[in-house]
Amino acid sequence: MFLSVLPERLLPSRPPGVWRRSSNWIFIALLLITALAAALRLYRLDAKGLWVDEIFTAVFASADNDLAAVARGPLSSPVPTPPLWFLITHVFVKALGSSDAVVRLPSVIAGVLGIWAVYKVGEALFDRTIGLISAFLLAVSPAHLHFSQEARFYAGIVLFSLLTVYFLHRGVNSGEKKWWIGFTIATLANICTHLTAFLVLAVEILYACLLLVHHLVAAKETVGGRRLSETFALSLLISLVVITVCYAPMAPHIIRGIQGSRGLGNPDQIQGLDLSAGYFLSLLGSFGAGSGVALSLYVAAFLWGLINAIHKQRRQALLILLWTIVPFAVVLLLRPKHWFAAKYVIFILPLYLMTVSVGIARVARSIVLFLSQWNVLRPPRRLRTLSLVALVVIYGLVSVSGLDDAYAWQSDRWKSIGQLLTSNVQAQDAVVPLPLTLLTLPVEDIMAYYGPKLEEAHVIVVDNPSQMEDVLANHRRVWIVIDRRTDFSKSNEVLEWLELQPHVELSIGDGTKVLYIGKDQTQLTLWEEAKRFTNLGLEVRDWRLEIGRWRMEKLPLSIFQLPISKWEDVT
Amino acid sequence: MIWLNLAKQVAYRYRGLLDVLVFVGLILSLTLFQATSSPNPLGQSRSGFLNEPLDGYPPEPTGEATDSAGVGKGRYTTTEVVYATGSGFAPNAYVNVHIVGDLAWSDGMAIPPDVSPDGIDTVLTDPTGNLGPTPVWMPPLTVGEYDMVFDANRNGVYDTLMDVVDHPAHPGFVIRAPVPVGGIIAPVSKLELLIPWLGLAGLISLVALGVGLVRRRRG
Repeated sequence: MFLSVLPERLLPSRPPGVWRRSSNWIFIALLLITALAAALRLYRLDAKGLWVDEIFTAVFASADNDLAAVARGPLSSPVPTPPLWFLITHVFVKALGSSDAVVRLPSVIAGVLGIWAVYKVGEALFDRTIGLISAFLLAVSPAHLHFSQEARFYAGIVLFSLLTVYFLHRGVNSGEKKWWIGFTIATLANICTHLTAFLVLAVEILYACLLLVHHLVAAKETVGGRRLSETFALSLLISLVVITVCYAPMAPHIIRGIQGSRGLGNPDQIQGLDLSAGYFLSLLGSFGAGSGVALSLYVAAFLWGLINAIHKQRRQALLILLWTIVPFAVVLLLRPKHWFAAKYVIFILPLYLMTVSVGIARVARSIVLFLSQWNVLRPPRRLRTLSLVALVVIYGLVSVSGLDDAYAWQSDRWKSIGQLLTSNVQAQDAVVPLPLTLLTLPVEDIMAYYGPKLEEAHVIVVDNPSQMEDVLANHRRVWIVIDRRTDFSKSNEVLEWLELQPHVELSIGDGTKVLYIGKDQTQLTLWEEAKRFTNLGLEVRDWRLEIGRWRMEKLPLSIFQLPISKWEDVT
Repeated sequence: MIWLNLAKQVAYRYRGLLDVLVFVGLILSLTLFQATSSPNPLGQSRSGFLNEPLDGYPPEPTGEATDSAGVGKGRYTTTEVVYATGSGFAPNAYVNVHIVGDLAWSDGMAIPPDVSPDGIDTVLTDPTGNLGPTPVWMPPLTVGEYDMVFDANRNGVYDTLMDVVDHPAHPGFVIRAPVPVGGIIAPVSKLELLIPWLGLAGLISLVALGVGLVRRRRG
């Protein structure tokens, strides 16, 4: 079986029937990898609630909105975002109902389709072996798994970026119109999904232009070559014009974003981006290998694959180099005021793993060559296959060891806040969420996703102590939500005021807490009342004034170890 | 020229072995680089980019004891200056920097009195929320193990939501008496440094020995 996945140049010549059988084995292997990828991506899909960015997706793509509203919402937000992914999610939510799993389902599907896409790109750029190894490595990549389970657009960007590369490669080499149509559609889908997809387009335009120059120089003498270059240049130009025209309606929103507080032209250092070797190693580590020897294994294979590609497949090497360097160059050139995160270049991941695959195949070949040259072992018929499979398994295991991190990451503090408040907030109570540093949605809308809804409770946003005093005067109890991303520069006065009030702190975990104060209530009465709604593993802290300092005491464990099912009984 | 040709022939003859050796060397070099290079913003972990601060948010507040260039420093002598450097705080805001004896920190803990002669240092962050490097303890320093606390809300209490401690679990920095003039005593285990390379050399020797024995038996 595995012999069939070796590069053609490593195999002896075979009769055509054997290749047909090989294709079947390839197809079966790919199906197994796809099944593995789907299982990993569906496992624990809704084990935890949505985190705040996912809530944005869910709110914008809500089934209550019509298509126009879904398209307008993300585009009109302070940090404009193209609407395609929200529209796709909206269709799913409309068809299957609103739940955390459904909101995340488009990412799962994009993640699984990405496995097929990376195989096709690997096959087109190198050979079927590379395609298959790349598909396997992407299937077990913790980073890809994470984004395939997140209700955001990053799995979509990986998929669409791979499609654009595939169509571009086929278009450049054949000149057939169908590939250029595919390139145009895939690119449009990509840039309508997220602004970072423009980095992919920049790479591809540069790559195409360099190839065009090469074509023109190399094909001077041949009429056929010249014709291909002309077709290629014309197709690329038409494609770019169509993309520009189709994207034009979104341009005003994007320009507004570029000119906004998170736009371009940052005079200071770009947050989250550092050009040191350590940073790039870390970036590659976050793509799946972690750190230490595991990271060295991956990076060594990447460099090995790149060196071999430069030596033997220069066009592919050029694409890989541009793919990994140009995005950072563009970011440095444009200097965004928005912080930079590794996920904004997640499209690098599949080509990185593809280059790792090239390195692995090359090392396997060298091992066999070494053994055969030294006559240590007379290479059995399938030694080459065995060495390749052994290496792929090692690399796969390195990646698999990181899957726990991807599953464990999900943070569902807004769900916990929602459960706590909806179970305990009464008609005479007020809820005060402190403003966040986020611009996309106001904190009350984020909180409303898991409840309490604005119409269900007195949800009030305050920004100074006197407003807090008014709220407390008009309500029996006040619940103050302090997320880890609270904008402390706006809330400092309120927090200082709160410190002087008798209050009980309910720690949600993950740096988030809910403070609870009551009208004319002493610390002791608050404390006694708090005992009634402690569960869900919440940690309750009692703050008492003692010799000028707040002293913290934790409640006995037995109080907050009630099972979730007992929550409503207790309250 | 003869040597060059001979080298080319050997390289061609043993290219499989050379490839494998270069690849292993690459892995060792990268591992060595990671071990010797300073930590970077992503933390060199696979969960580094899954962390929320890099997942759509500005970085969390960070702060540490540093030298005058802002490079993290864990050991000082009594004649040096301790600087504080931080980032991710509220822009244009005051932060209290305390130097206290080493403690195991937990949320809500009162910050003990500052041990430096000038007491608590109040430092203004820049428009991007960065702080320092700013001198917070001038010489002569007192020998001991210390923590540096960045009290962002300036309430005298360590609050994990806003404040930063270098370091919550072990001493943030240590002050020792200066070493005598005439040389620096730097205990270095040469064997520890050489072990990976000795291991590699041993492995290659074993393989070569095995190959020789097999060929001798066959030949």
